[in-house]
Amino acid sequence: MSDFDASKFIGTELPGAVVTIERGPLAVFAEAVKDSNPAYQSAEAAKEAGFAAPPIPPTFPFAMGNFGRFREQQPDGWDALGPMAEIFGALMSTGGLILHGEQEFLYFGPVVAGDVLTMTGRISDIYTKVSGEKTMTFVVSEQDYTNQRGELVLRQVSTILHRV
Amino acid sequence: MADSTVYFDDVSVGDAAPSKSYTLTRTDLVKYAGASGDFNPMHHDDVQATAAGLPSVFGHGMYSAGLVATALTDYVGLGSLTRYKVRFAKQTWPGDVLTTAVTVTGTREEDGKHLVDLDCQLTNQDGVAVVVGEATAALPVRAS
Repeated sequence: MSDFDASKFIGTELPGAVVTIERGPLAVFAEAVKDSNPAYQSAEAAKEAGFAAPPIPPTFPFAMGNFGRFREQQPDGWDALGPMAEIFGALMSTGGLILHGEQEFLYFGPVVAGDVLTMTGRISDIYTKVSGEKTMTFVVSEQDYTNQRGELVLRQVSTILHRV
Repeated sequence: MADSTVYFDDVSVGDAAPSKSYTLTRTDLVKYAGASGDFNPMHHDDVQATAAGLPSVFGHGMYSAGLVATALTDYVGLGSLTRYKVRFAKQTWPGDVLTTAVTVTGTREEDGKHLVDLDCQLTNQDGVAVVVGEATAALPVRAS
């Protein structure tokens, strides 16, 4: 055990981001998770299903930050190391494993190709559990996404843990 | 797609979605790595995975969560989920046969919405749950 106190990071803001939703990545993602719904592949099928454009698959929000984060759209501080890297960097200095414990998505409205989402996030909780010889530090982070019309459309809550 | 709409009126506690089974391949994992941007080598590089003491590469938890999400939206339709939560219980390995299970656990009305609560799981060939989750969908009501 190190004497690193992760709990002081509760409430810390995550670096912000702007994510543009593009058809190509969401269509490839849908195929990768074996979803053959034509609405992901065809603008016409998306319209028939009631969407303005192809919608994102339910778990795409966890991946979408790796696509469509165009440099010129990012807010100041987008490339800061951020508290997650700081926390897990410190925890990993004593060894151990980083694991994805839980993931939650709250869907408030449709997200479709062409949308431009602004993300704000924070670390909402940090707690430790001891089980036998193992110490687990859980870090819960929340990300809220607002679209180009100012509507809150999505929240995702990630629980990442360090086990040593 | 209007003909495949699921209505709140037609859903009862205990109803189950058709289950789907997939045999996990390394190609599945490479496709998911590219599609998600998650290039942790433990999910695609057997040389590094075995050097780290693992029997082989193992599946992304979010790949399993994605398979379950596909089963959910195939059942309740696109755009009706209001919430989806998963817990990653076990690792998955190439060759595993992964099977989805989606069951209705409740129906309720809240703020004028007709909500259906669902339990969902992905189990392996030994019947062990690898992903355990729950979801809520808001469904349309038949015009009376």
